[in-house]
Amino acid sequence: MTAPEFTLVAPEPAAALGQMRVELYARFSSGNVVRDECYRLALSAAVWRLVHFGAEGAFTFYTARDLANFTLVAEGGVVDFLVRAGFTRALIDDDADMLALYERLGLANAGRDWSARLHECPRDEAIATVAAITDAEEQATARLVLARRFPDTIAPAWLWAVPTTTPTIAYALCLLILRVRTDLLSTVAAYLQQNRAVLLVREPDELLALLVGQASTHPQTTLAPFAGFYGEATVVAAAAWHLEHDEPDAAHALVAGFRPLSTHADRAWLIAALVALARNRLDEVQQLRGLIQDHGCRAQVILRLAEYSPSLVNDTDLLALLDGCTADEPELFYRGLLCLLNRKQLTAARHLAARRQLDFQHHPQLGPIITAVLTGKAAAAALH
Amino acid sequence: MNGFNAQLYAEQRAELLTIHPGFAPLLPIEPVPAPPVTSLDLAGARRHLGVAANNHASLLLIVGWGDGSVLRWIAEDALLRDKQVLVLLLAGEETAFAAAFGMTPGLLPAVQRVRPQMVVLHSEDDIATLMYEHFRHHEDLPRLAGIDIVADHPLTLAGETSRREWSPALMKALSDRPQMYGNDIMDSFTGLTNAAQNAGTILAAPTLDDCWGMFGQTPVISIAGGPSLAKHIPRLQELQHRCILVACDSVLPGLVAAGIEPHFVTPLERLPATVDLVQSARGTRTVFAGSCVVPPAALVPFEGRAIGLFAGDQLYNWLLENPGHRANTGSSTGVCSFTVGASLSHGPVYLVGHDLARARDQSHWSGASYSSGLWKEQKQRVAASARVASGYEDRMIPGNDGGLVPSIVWWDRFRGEIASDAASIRAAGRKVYNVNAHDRVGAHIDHTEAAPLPDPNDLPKLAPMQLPPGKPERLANWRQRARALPEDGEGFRAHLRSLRSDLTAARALPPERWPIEALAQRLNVTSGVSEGNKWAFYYFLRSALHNTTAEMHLRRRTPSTARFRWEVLNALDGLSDALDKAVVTLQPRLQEIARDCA
Repeated sequence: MTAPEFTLVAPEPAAALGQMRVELYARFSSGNVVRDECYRLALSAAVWRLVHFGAEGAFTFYTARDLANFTLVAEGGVVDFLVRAGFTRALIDDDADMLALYERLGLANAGRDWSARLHECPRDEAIATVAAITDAEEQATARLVLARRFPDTIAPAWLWAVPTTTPTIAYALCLLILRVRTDLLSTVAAYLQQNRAVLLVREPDELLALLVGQASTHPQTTLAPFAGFYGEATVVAAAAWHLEHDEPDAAHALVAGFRPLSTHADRAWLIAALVALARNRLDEVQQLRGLIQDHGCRAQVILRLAEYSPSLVNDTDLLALLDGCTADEPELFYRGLLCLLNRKQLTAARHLAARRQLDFQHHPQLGPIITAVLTGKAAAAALH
Repeated sequence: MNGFNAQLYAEQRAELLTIHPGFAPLLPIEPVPAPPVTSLDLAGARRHLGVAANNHASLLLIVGWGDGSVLRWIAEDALLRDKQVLVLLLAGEETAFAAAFGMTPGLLPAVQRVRPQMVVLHSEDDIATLMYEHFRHHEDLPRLAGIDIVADHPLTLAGETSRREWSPALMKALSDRPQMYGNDIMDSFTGLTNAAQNAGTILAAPTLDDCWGMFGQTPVISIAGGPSLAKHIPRLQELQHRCILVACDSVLPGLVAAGIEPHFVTPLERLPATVDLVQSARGTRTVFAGSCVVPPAALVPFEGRAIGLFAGDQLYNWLLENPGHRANTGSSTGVCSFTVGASLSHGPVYLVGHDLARARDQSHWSGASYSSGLWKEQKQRVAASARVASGYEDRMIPGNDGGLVPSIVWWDRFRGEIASDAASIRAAGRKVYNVNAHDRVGAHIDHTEAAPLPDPNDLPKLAPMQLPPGKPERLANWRQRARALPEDGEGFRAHLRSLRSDLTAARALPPERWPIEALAQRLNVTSGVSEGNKWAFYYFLRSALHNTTAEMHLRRRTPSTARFRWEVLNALDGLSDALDKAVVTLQPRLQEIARDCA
């Protein structure tokens, strides 16, 4: 009763499969043994269904890592099918970790050769290769790979050409377009309106928050067709849009009374704090500052307060913020350093620059300023 | 007590006792001073509850009461308060529990809003009761797939100690539970068809209920295949006419070769190996007392000597709707030999060879070569392929020597199953003796006592065994019902087609109008099936049903309300599709059964 597709897949090398199982096994635990056991049983049951009844639509739910984990509970020819499916899903989800695992172990060779060619060949050859693919699903995956390399090649028709049986490909393509081809936003919006299965195959907020944030139209207009589909992340993105477009009242209306235990609460409170600052409600800003725990959001509030009036943030807090900035937060560091210089805290600024020199000296804009501070040309740095 | 308000306490206490009258012992009229407990502030609440507060999984387990602030945060969060919340109150938290209601005005409203299930764990032994009361049935278990466990929030020092000591046992007990619903859909297919083919023998035989306690106070010896069994063979040879011997199938060849004929043997597996193991029953007195799901060829050597064993699965309801006493077959033939043995007599039950642990150089008795071969093969497979949790992973468990002994996951589960049944047997005033506990070898089994095998000289010789007569009308009734199986299969498929059509229509509606509850209600596995065969369909489709439900609970771990509801629709559709394919696959077998019953 083995489903026919299993017999069409070339067998994977046994030693590499064994090594893959060892590595996946080592990182299987989620820290919740009860859920781990249920997850293992669910995978195992899905394999039984797959073996006896063939592939089912529910497989779109699984991530690249899930599909790899199937090899821990399955044996026989179905494993080869799952490895191939797992590699393809890793390609679609752009899961670099899983792709590296397949490559390092020499698994899913046929799929890897194909995708490697697309990753390396010249643009025209890549376009021609993708155009020549006749299988709709394979072509959709290839277009995704091509689009990641050459975003300008994306054509609106690509979305509608993705088979409805593979919503994960369409989701990944929508996500890519929203990130790199903002000129095609309306295409994505129209497509998602018509294809709920795509919108919901992964987290809808990831798409809708991007859509709202990038759109030039009013969030209410953008989100009208998606009523009931979006959640807190999209609401915060809409509030940020209002703030950026100088509509503080609308922004505040969206974040007022935000759920404190939401993962998006810090961003909501940041927006609320910025609105309060614009309204000169300093007590409210200080209260919100006390609630925010995320370093970046908290830093934004402190800096805006410090920029608003030096008396609202003492030097110690400002220095603590600057010491807490990571190397990938040069903008925050720059703004904080500038506050310090404006307060004429030149010695503290010099010491700070010395402490953080290694993290920021190679930054094109920040590097020269740090050098200026260190060499005593602080005044010049402040005017930079 | 600092901050304690007696009037607040009295008011909240009175209200709380109307919700949880069982808490009266924990809420004295005059509470004693309580040790201080750190309260959860926003940062703490986000650290401990943040994950649960950002997914739609239905079950939240809170291990430890603390000062009750966890519950207050849950009550304030719209997503958390919709979950099923189970709070474990641990030993050492009693005074803090009472004091909290005199110190926190908002606590009672929080309890009223969340309506948590609250369980008091006085000792580690209460974990078994928790499992029995809250995670007992197949229907209770799938929700564990999405569970969030909060087990590191501040407690009293004594509460922290209880939690630290009991958490491993609690987690083990919870993670062992989902195994109960099974994940191999072919298991129930095979079970149904084997049972149908075995019905001629099983339904014509006396039931376990007919044989209940038939041996009076005669001691029963349940024989499993652990390495320690070797030592007891000579004594068993002497006892075989003075006690009732009930053996697991894997030791039958070895026992018969050693000149021991058990009265009963308890095969359980659908595997072809079962047929080989019971061949030695041919020409003996041994009676088949196993599950009807074994391959039909496994009944042949018994030449009609059988009793009908009816367990908890719906399959047994289909064969005989009211079988009277049932037995818990457990997960192994060894466990089954114990539960069946305990049912046949009112006397003491002796466990022999239930090592459930590995000896230095041996996994099984030499006479149980099938089991030792299987054990070696599985261990090699686990080592070679790194399969996740095949059940053969090593696990150190409490031993009869007072230390830890090397076991595997499966054996530890068997240990729990025996202990659970031993507890109820002991509660009825009977004794369960573990001979290994006397010899200080093998795994410790709760609720058993240490004792050697009885002295044959102290026991009278038994008369030849005679089973009560069977009731042939049971078979006739079942055959009449089974004839409708193919027609019922088509009726069920028609129901699924209608459901899938409605699911397609539902998906076109706005999210707030997706009727997921109403559609889920319609996805029962007995629609369109005649009354007499409902249990059959329920049984053979249950694995698919419970696994899909568990997967739905996994899928609820998304922050998106729309997505989790959409996934429920998808899961319902996927399951309808799988069930339809399952029935199509089974239909030729159903037709065969119906033909045989004509």
